[in-house]
Amino acid sequence: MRLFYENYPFFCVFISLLCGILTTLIHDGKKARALTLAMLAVCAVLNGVVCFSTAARGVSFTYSMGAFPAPWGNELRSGPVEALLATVFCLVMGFSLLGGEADLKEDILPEKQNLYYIMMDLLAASLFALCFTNDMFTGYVFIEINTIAACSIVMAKDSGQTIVATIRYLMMSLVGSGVFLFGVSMLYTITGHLLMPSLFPAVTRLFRTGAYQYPLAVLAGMMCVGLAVKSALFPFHTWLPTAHGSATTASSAVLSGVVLKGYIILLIKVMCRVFTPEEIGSLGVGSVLLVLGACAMIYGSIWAVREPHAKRMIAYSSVAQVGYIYLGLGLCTTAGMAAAIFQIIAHAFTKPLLFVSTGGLIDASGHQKKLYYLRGAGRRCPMAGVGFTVGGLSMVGLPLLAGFVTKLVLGRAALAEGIPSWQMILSLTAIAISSLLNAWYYLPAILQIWKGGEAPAGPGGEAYVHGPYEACLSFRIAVVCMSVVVVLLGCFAQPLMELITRGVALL
Amino acid sequence: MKTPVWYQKLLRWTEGDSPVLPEPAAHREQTREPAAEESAYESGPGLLSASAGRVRNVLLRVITIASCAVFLLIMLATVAYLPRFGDADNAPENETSRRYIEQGMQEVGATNLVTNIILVYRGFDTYGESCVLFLGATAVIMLLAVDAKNTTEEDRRVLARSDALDRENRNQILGHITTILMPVILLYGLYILCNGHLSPGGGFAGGSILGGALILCENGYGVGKVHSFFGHRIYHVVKVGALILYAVLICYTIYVGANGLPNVIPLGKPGSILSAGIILPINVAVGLEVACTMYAFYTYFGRGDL
Repeated sequence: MRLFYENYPFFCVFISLLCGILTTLIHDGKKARALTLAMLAVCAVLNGVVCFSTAARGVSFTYSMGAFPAPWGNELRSGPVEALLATVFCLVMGFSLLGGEADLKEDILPEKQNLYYIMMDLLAASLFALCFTNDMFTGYVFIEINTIAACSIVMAKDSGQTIVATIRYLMMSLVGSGVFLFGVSMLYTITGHLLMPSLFPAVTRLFRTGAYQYPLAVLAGMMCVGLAVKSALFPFHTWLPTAHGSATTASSAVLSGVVLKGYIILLIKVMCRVFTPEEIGSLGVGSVLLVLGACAMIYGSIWAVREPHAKRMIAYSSVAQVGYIYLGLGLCTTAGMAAAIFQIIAHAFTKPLLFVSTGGLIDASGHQKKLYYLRGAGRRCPMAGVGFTVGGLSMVGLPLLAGFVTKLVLGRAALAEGIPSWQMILSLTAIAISSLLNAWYYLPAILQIWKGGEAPAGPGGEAYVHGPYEACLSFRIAVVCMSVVVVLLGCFAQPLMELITRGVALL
Repeated sequence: MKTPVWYQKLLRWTEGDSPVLPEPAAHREQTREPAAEESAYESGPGLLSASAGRVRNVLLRVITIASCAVFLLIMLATVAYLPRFGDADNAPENETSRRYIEQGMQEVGATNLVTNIILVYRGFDTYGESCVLFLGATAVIMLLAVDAKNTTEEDRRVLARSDALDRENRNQILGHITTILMPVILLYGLYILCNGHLSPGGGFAGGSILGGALILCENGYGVGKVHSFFGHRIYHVVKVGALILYAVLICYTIYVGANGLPNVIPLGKPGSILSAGIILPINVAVGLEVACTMYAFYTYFGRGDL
């Protein structure tokens, strides 16, 4: 007899799908919003239970979707790490929706608000499925759902800029899906399987016998590149700054905090459960990911330094932070994987915090989006200022904040035994330069928002700021919660790292 | 003694007036229009001069063609290494497909083996695909449905005038042929829909025929005819009802199957119309969903409304 909590991943996927479908009939944006938030809360609890139960027993389990076991039927699989990430995604989506409430009301017409929440519900469903899938093709189906929903939440604002950004995002995303699908179909041709547990021995056998070496290298590269395009790894990041910078606040937060990570989780699954990290390393794909990750860390930061537009600056910083994740993956060791997963969680909370508080700062400055006009915005809206400061300092890598732990565990993974010295030197150099550059653009921005004196005049020379700005309650809840989580991640990283390390072993 | 420039800069930086954050161009030239400022974000900081822009365009084109060529060569080289299509000892000819072929009819109940695979064995994937359809239609509505942002009063007037013209000069031939063809098309669509478990076809194929029938109706009888019996309310109820029915059936099957509980839905005798358990109602649900999506695509792309 199956333990009851093993049903929860399946429940989460279907609860969020059904909420999305039912929201079509709810024409009131407020009710749709309440339903989505309730769904996210329920799913967070369910996933949390799965995480604790599996971590306490030290097991992972598979769940056949129907009477027919895999490889004939579909299958879900969960261990502590998958459930942990799914929980994090629920929380982050919930906080982002809470924090972006004011902008959502302003940016999206009332009659189309419920459509926005449909997209959010289906996005959640696809992320759960990406976390829990045990089958390459199921992964592909939910990548499709994820792509359409993600493009739609960029488009929702319906200004000229967001439409251009959406088109760019959609094109790049489709190229990514296509390349990934090519990889999957080639893998099926040479192994005859789509299910990860069946693929694993088949691929190992191919590596031992040396058959199909060339297609194997090509398809591993294609899967990695396909997912890298979708998660904006340098040099495939060109769609990200406009898409994340121009969308409404909640969309920006969800896209950078959660959507990018969904694809990376699938990539981690491919690396650990179809191949082994060592095999990926021996094909040379690992080194490519490492070098691209290091380039992204530096390049993204350089562009962020040059960017006068506050939200786009943060979006470029996402390019750099995704680079950290790929750096960890590119090391092709268990410690590197664990560091990458920690960075996924840390960035999932920090970046939405930054986007949400920047949204608040912009609202407090008469909707002016350039950093120049945000002078003193932290004094007008202290809650947003505190959020931005905590997030920015975490990105810079101040100890006791989440960003510091990321750099620490990444550095430790790079210094471990068995890592070639060029990889070690490259990783540490990239971490050092990227930290410096992060300080270079986040510290002035933080100083700028706390600066006193007269607020700058608007583009037309008019004074547009009228005294202190009253942020709404949900915004304050979101900022406080995310700031607290960022601090907690920095202070109590040890137990979380242990959980992740044990979970990676169970992958 | 004169303070060095870098020290002044450092002081300014610590005060938050940093060189990283130059005064925006629009602030200096107060005559610039806000629209121009917005578009300046698009091309990133530092607008290119005209000649540099041309060089960049040529360069981008060369890089694009070169990378496509490299990709093409890699793909062709890979294909040469892949096993020949259709060989008996190819990897996909394994226990998975054997069971689908040998036991599919007894286990699942449909004589159409493809339907067995997509709706029952891998039912979860297919439910995901139906959600893609739903999502596609919703995204189109989100973008194209007429609202205050994407439509001006002038647009509305033009649309109303063209509708009026359309009604006055209706194409008589198309109308009569539609009247003759409509019952046949509907019957054929329903047949394919309901026989999905017995013969080639099923929800996706039958649904697109029904969707085509709706589009023909809209064209043959003029704008507003379909709307009179298939308005927003009915459209939403049919679409949501079909997906909920599908979800309930598939959830029940998954839950019962995964937990080892007895499944009360009878499989029936393979080959008869009422057989194969959940496949028939799922096919109907998928068919309705596909028909709704096709029709919605057509009307929203055309008129921005149902």
